[in-house]
Amino acid sequence: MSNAATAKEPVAVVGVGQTKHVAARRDVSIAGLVREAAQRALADAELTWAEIDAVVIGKAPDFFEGVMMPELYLADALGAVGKPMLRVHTAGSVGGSTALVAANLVAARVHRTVLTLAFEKQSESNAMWGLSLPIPFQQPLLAGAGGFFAPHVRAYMRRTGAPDAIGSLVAYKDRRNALKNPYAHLHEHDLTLEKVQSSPMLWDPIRYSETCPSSDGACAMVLTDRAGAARAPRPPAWVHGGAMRSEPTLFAGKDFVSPQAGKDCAADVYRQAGITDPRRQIDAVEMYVPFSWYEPMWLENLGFAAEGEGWKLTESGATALDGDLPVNPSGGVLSTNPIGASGMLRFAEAALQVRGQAGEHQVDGARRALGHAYGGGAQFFSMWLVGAEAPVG
Amino acid sequence: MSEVLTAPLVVEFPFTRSLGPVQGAFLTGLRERTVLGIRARDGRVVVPPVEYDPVTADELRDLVEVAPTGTVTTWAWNPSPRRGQPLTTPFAWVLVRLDGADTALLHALAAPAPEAVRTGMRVRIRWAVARTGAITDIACFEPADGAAAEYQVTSHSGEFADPVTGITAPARLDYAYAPGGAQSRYIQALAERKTVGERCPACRKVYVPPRGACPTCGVATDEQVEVGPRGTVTTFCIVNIKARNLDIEVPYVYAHIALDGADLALHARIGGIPYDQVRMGLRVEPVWTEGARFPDHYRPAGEPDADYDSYKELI
Amino acid sequence: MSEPVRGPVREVAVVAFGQSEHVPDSAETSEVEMLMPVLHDVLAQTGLKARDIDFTCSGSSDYLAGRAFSFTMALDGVGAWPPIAESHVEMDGAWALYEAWVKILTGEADTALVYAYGKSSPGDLREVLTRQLDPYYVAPLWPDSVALAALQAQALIDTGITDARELAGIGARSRGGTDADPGRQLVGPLRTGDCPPVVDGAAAVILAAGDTARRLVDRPAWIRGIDHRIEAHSLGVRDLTDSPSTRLAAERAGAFEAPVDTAELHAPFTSQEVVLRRALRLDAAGGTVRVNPSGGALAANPVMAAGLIRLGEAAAAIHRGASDRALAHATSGPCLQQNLVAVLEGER
Repeated sequence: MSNAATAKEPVAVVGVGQTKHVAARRDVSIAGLVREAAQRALADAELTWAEIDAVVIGKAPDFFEGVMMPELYLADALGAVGKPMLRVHTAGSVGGSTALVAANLVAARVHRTVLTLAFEKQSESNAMWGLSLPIPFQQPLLAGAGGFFAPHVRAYMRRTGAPDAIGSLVAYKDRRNALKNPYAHLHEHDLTLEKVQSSPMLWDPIRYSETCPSSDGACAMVLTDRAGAARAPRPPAWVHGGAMRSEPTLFAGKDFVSPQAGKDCAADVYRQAGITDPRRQIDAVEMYVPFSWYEPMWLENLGFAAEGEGWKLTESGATALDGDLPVNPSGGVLSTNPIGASGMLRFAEAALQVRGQAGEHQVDGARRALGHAYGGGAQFFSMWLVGAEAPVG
Repeated sequence: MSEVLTAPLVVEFPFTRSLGPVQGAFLTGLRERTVLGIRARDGRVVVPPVEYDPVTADELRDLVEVAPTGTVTTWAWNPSPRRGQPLTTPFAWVLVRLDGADTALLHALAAPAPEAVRTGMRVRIRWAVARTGAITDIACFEPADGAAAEYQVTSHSGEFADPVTGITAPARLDYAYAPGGAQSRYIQALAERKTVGERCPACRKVYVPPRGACPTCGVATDEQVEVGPRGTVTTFCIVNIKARNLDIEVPYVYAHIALDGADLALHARIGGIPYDQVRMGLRVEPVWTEGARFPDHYRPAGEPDADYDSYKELI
Repeated sequence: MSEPVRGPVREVAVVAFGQSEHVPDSAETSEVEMLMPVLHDVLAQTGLKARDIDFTCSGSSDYLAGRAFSFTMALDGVGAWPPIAESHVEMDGAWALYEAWVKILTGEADTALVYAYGKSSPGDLREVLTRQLDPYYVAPLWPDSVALAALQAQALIDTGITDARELAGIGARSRGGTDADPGRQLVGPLRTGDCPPVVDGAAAVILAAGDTARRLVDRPAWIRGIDHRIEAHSLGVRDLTDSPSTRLAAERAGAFEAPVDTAELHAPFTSQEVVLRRALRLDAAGGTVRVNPSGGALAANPVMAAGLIRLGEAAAAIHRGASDRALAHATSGPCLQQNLVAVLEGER
């Protein structure tokens, strides 16, 4: 993959928008929901609909809203009429993948300014219904979504000897961070660590307070080229690296605790961005943590900690908002989970950090941030690394 | 040669759709036998009203009232109505430009035969008797007399008493699910209480259940290999909340079990042992019940636990 | 539009195309069992191994399968190990090809595998497709896909653009016969002969850049331009007798810069071929464009793959020297709402 005829166009994030995420947005249609995020991203970039060249939209399964290929119906609301519109679906990683597809349109110089958006309006149906349609001949999923992931958490604990309390530390931290993020779904002002640790054990070893909520929400970004970034009213976030990796759902030898696809994806992003020591060189991480234990697991998978050492990083407080490697300053998926948008929220929050636009949950002096998403049976990964400075070259 | 399995799969849900202000006003209006449109940026009146301008993408809010009468702009004769459609006897699908509107609305037209329908014909709304604030509050259109009169639209606040803010949209789709060759072979073997995996010709791994392809080699698995019946619990969780549509007393253990001879674990419930005594490495065997396709659960096989190193690659 | 037309920065070609047999019912094979031989076919055509592919992208629909995340099962047929750079669009595979083309333009990939598949037989396709429609005003009426196409056909007849005879002729030509019996009326004015057969099928192509493409195939089908555009969703605000999005995509793809000798149009209904021929100016005086020599979607319409197959058929015509410059088109949504146009050329 060496003989590229020309170097890629640098890609900048100049607009970020999201909805206030809640369990049910009963005041808007599906179009109204996506529109709110898109409008905020345009406002942030101080651009009009006419200045957008293409729209790339993503969401998780169509059954969640009961609309097949809803981008067809959403074309008008997203100003896509007369423009190219792409619809990405890569399971839970989709929000990240969607942003990367949009970034590539700019990087390839196909378009100059692209709107990318991801959403889920889970209140239109019931996520567990959508995820567990009664497929004949198959054993019903015996344990719900948490039951799918809990055995992998146990495997992680067995492998690393991590103490039981680590998961609750993550949950408490992320929910406290969410209090500083006005868009977060869960704002649990009275939460204490004790309350997390005494919340019901749903899928042992996962407690209720260590699981993500089900949200209605959308996230949008405006991506543009070097010229567009020069005109941007606020500092852009520059894309220094981006990658997707997939591996099969189930296979002999699959490591569910630390999937190879995640390691490879991170390695590719770091290579592109010139990162050799992620722990030292990256200032903030927005990673996809739907169950609290995934923080230490991903810390290892993404190379922030040696194998078996991720939980120690969490335990040390390094991943707190005032730690030396803040993880999920926004409150993360544990506080906000419109499934299809959750990945893009990670990417967008990483961009907000390096733009210095994260408000109360801003990490002081963040210059480089990682956005991470994953989905399926821990098989689809998408990540990007954004920086405050334009990439060199 | 195994027979091809198929079975019905019903995908059905009553979706709850919040409407937003424009759609809410339109559907509430239908309940009140009032048809609203919306003024687009270019001055056109769009009926049914859209939330965003189809040309400029601007948010639209200027509602107007249009007539319940209109003109057919195109039509299609439907000789055999299908489930969920507005009429149960043959009818015409029509696009109707209501008087006062510049765009057309899709609905059904009650007509005795295709000969009674033509583009340009005049029609009026036949209101449903019971109206709830839904597009089906228009039962259908019916032929009307008289030429199109110049209709003066009037602006409308969109406000009604007891506004409709959401609809329930039930949707049912029927599928004939066919699991394909490999899974059919697997399921048929289960009927004889055998668990039969398939071996990849390239990497030699045994897949249970087989899914038709070795996912790492991308080639068909076709050599059948009986595995189990015993196996090892590789990891598990204790389920403390009732899953939807499952009649299993909680707490119970949901485990990953590597059957002897298989190269990856399958998932099943563990029984016959207190839930808090299940552990990684526990040796188990299947318990079948009459008439069930899968083992009801797995129970301790009475063997010593497997050594962690013997199954850690299977977790 | 704020952007000028800019040419691609890299040469990209279709170097292989394969498709399954398209059958009315494929209950004996799962999606992956149907797809895998097609993947093996395109790899074999180029001599590439799965490991040599830099990027993989697919198109499919959960609503056809009746299952969420149905594309994850198809991935088993790819052999995604060690892990691969991979993406998926919930669209016809033609748009997966577009995403892969963009990926190659960035320089991050030199080769790409694109595939698509659709099994319509498990469900009632006409009913399933109603779920694509505006969920507030239209989907609750369950207007099926044939009914919507019939509204479009009647509008074309009313304006004198076409008539039943021309439509019957298109149907007959597409199916390779001279028998213009249009069949029984399905939703008037459309007859069975105007409508696509409902089939299951899969297709795949391999894309390659520059010298890699030249190495892999004698006569690469170079993608000289590719673009896609969408229109407003509501049928009532559109002029159903025209396809401005097709025309715009064709302009952006450079289709009008020189005549094409072949056009593969994704027109599931005879009436839609009429709309597309006009939008693409294929009936210009003195023109000799071969339209749908493959038979088009009227001969086989595996939903989600039929658009990719148009690109593949156009490319295959170039590979075998039957075309020097071909246009390929794909569509999505009710009554041609969204359209993609590509221009492919062989070196002369």
